[in-house]
Amino acid sequence: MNIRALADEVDRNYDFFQRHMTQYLPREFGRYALLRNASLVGFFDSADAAEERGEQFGDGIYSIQLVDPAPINLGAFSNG
Amino acid sequence: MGEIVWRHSGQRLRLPVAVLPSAAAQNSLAIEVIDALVDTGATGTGLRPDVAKALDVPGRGKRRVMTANGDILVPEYRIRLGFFCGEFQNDPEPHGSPYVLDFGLLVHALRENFSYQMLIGMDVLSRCDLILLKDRTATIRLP
Repeated sequence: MNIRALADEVDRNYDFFQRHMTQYLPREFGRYALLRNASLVGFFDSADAAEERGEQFGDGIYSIQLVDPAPINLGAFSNG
Repeated sequence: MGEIVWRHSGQRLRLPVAVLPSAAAQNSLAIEVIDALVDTGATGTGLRPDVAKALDVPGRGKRRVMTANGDILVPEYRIRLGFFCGEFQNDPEPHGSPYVLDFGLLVHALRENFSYQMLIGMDVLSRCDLILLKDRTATIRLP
């Protein structure tokens, strides 16, 4: 797997995902989006299922995003 | 079902855990045993980047994380998580083979100098029974 290509793919897919997030809510909330070539492949109930589908591309170049617009909250550790 | 019972410090819940790449990874049998903090105040589980690097786990997504200075965007990694089950008089020890959860996780990157190698948040804890008694006995029943 080309790590540089994967990193670029993750960045491009994230931009696409963020721009379309509102279209996915609330129906797909809590599911996992599989993305490739800056487009949506589909939604899955688990990250494992999304990965299994992603591996079928054969080159490992895809990304997975949880459909949840809220940022991670680290509680007390948010302050450092 | 796995279970961990131990007497905690009264200040923090620390556990040794095994981190493995996702089942689809070419090096899926690689393993790192690290120190994790159980934190019911964290909504998600985080992994320090040095551990991901040691396991050769690449970023598979991105996620925003709240900090005191505003949200930051960090990588997310695909991993599996294992626990060392048993009853311990004090802090648990990483003896024997880990009980690896049968579901993989998408975890966010902690900052490089984070005090713990992993922060186990509510995405994992909400799938477990977590029991804390006033005599400092802690129990985690794993799914």
